[in-house]
Amino acid sequence: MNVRLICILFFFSATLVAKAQINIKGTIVSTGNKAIAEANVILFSNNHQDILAYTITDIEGNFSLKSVTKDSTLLEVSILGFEKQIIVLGPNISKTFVVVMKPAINNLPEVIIKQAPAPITGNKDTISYSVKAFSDSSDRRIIDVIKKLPGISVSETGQILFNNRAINKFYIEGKDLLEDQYAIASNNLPSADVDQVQVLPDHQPIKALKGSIYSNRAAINIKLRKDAKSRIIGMGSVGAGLPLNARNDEVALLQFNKDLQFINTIKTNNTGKNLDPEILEQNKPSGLSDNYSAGTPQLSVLKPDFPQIDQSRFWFNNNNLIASNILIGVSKNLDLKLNIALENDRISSRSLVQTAIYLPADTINLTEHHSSINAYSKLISGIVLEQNTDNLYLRNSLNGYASRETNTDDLLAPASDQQLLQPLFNLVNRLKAIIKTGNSTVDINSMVNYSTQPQSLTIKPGLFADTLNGGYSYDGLSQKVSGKTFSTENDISWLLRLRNFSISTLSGFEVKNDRTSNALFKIKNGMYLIPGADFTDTINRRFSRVFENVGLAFESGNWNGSIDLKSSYNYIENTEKRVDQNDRLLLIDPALTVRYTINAYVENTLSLSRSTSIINNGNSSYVLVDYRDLLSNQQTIDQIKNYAAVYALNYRNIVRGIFANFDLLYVSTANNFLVDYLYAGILTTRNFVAFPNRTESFGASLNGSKYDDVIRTNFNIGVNYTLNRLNELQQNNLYHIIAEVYSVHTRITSSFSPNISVIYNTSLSAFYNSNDAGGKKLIENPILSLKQNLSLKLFLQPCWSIGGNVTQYADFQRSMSKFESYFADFYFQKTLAKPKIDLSVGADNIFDAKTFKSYGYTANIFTMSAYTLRPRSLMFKVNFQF
Amino acid sequence: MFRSFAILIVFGLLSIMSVKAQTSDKIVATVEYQFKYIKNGETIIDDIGILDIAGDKSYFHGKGADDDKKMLNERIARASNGSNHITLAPLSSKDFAQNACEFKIIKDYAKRMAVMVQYIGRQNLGFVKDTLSSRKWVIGKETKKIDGFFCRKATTRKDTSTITAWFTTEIPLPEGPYYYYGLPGLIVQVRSTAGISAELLRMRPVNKPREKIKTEPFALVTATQWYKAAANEAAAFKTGQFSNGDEAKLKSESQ
Repeated sequence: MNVRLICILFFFSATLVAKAQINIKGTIVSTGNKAIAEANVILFSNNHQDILAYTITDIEGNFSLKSVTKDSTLLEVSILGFEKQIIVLGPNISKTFVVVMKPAINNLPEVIIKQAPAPITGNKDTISYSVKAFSDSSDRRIIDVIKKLPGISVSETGQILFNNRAINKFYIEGKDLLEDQYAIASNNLPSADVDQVQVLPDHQPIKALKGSIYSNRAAINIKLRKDAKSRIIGMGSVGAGLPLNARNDEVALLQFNKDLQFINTIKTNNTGKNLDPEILEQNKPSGLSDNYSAGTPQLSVLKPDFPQIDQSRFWFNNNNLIASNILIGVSKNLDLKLNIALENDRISSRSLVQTAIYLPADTINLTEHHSSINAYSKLISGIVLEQNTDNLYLRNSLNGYASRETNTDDLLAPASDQQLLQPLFNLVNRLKAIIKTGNSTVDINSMVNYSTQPQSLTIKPGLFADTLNGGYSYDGLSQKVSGKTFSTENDISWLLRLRNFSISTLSGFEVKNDRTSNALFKIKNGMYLIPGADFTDTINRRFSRVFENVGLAFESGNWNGSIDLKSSYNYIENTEKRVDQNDRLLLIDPALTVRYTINAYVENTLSLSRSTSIINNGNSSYVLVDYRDLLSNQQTIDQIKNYAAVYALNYRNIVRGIFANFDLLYVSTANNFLVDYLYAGILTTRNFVAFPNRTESFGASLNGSKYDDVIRTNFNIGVNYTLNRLNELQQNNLYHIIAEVYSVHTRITSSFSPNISVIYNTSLSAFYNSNDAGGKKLIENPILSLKQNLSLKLFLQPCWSIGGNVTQYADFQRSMSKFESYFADFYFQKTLAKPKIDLSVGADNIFDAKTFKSYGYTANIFTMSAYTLRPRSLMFKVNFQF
Repeated sequence: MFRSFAILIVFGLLSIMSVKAQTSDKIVATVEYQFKYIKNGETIIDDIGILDIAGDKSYFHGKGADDDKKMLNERIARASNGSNHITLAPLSSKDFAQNACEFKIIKDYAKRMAVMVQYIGRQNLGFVKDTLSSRKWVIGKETKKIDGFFCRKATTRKDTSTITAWFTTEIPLPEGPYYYYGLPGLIVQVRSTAGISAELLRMRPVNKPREKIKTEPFALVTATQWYKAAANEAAAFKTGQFSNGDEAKLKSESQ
């Protein structure tokens, strides 16, 4: 505050007024002698506290004040854009002033933000969630906050769903830096730098298609805080602990300027955290042919399915990841995106699996002790050029994928060592161009793809001597499969909009060539011998088709929908050493989608469709796909017809924070083949046989969430039911199988007090399988599976926090033992405000659970598996943000 | 003597003449309030009120109404699909923001008046809600801190209601939400016994003023005429017929 005496000009001589009275008039002018209107003129008592009188200058800068006081007073003049003036006045003063104001920089506070009382705002087109309203002081990454937002859920792989549908885009400040690998952003963007998470319902990402092609999927747009846009932001952590020299280190650098965005990360850990989901594509790339499947057999090291618990509890890993993602704004509407990721990992695991295969006349029991190591390295890269304007959309992407994976498994019983080598290389280029002129739109797509995958599975010692070696022992088996595929798909479509209708037609062609070679060798005295002609083959498959799709879309009032007719003429040719096959197929598939918006909150959608797929997996030789499965498919080229009906009802009320959805799904599948399972001891032989086969699936789910602003709590509940009817052949017996799953899940997330955050979720599922073989039922007792988790965080002072969670897993089956497991974790953290550093110490698996046991069954195969868990551990960690 | 008198005149003219008042018409600050109007326990308005302040006037308008207008324009553009034919863009009351502030207040510093403007049917009508005067506020001795600002209490009366405002001299703008004006600092919090309340949410000063306040044209009428037009429109809405401005008859009256 500057106080200085000012130069005073007198107009008229002061006149004496009544005793202790102040009567002042004057004019406020600038240094250029221009009158200043709307200036505040305040007469304070001499302590500068009490306001005795005040006024505002008029259009000519004049003011007039009167007051009564014994003491001296202060006259303060202030207005935006000028320095404040304070004049000391004596008592009994009656004067006329001209106050000259010096210009000054507008010195108002830059921003005053009061916490918005409504954490959710918006309208039909954009729902904005205030990050500040939903985060607590322990949240560091934006994914921690996104998980709590009403209407949004996050899968274990990081896929984000809104109203139970996967999002189609994850933008940051309107830019699509990461395309489908958005987990890199959601896991590494500091939540403190985010102002809002916006959801854009029914988002059409291509501007030229807005209003023409309807989308029922939402997108997310991250709005950053102002100060986060102009600098490099980031976070990192360094961690070390016990036992096993535990480490968990990472650093992420991010920048989001208008013309340059990047996210670069380096991460390494051996604490069970799987970094793979960060580079996982969350949505299936478009443009790939869905209705043709040709089999290069996939070899595997037989292992039990992963237990349904937090992966870090059984994941003995050594995972490293370097990823770089850059977006360069070449011009206003043209972006260049570059991404590259290099990851490697070495994962070991121990498990015990007991398998019971219930047959009408027999039960086959297997017990396997596994000790596995999975080591892989992968390199993923991509370059994308994209232009997205109202009338033109242009995009070309070139993506490469190369990996080298080695799986080893030492089976203690039956004693055998398995080793699988699976290098994979894939290169794909996708071009898309959309040109909009007036009422019509032209869409051009082209995809070229090349991949190669040589595989080698070695098993020692040699198994199935009776079948493969005349009863004599031998050293081992080596199964080799090599596949190379080249494909291209190209189409052009034209869309015309007419009033309430739009007509589209799409024409294109596809060519796919693949070559598969497979050979099973016996290893004896260092020599590789083929057991017989039935164990080797080379197949050249050529597939080509021309297709024409015609569609009609309509929009009228609250109704919109589409009718599509897909037709294709397909030519398939196989060249195999035993039999040459070829076939020509004409396929016609209709589809209907209707959507009715009941009101601003409720909409429902009905889809009916038929799709036909061509299966071309024939391979009359035997392939050892894992150590105890021999696969042979003498089936000719076949079709699978799917009939699907889907109904969805969605409700969203952002004012009340209520989101709900109800979904029904029915799928009927018809084909002409079945897989016949033949068991001989531990060896399973699978043959494809001609058999009319129909399967049915039915699913229903109801989910709802409600956010209560007063108690800052989100309630989420869901119930699901699925039913599958299928047929299987085992030992030449036909089984009719009905598999049902009932599940209910709830989740409560609450920050009812600024010092407490609570998350409770529970999930209960019941698995019913009914298998009827010739009137005899096998496996009827259901498996009940329960999971409960309670997570509590206490913020003791501004810089201290403690937290923990307790989890219960339980599996029940009437005729079996009950399995229960309990886990508890705890952490203690101190946060330094400047710089932003968290110092924490955490303990995992406090109860030191050694193994996790669970039941599972499919069809008539019942399994009990026990996985060895990571022991109790202690981790010291330093997290920092900048 | 003549010389002395001449100097005095010139001096006087120079000192009192305002060649041009400091009346820049560019927005220098934008203030946001949580603005509510509750009548008989029912929430009529619950919106974010935006106050744009320029050198010559200020403009108070509701964010909810602004968003509705933007939504409406976009829906119409989408329904027309780029063609000259406009198909129906069906809307219900649920499409619009709930409890939005539909009226605007324009305070003209030169004319010393605050005009309330609102669309009545298709007509944008305004009337003088209040004059801009500082003399009606009584500043008390009570002070308190609100959101980090040292605030003083001031009261005034309008018609039958008492208005209590907390203002801060740290922000030398004699402005506030609604038609409230004339205190020697920005109003941070205000309540009236008629049900109006507002709390400061955010203020953004504009370091390089460029934008002007944009208002839609309106017809200035008297308060009596304005309320009569509103009553006519309400009656027309009930009957489903358009009124020519005279008092409309309800169906029950005409039968």
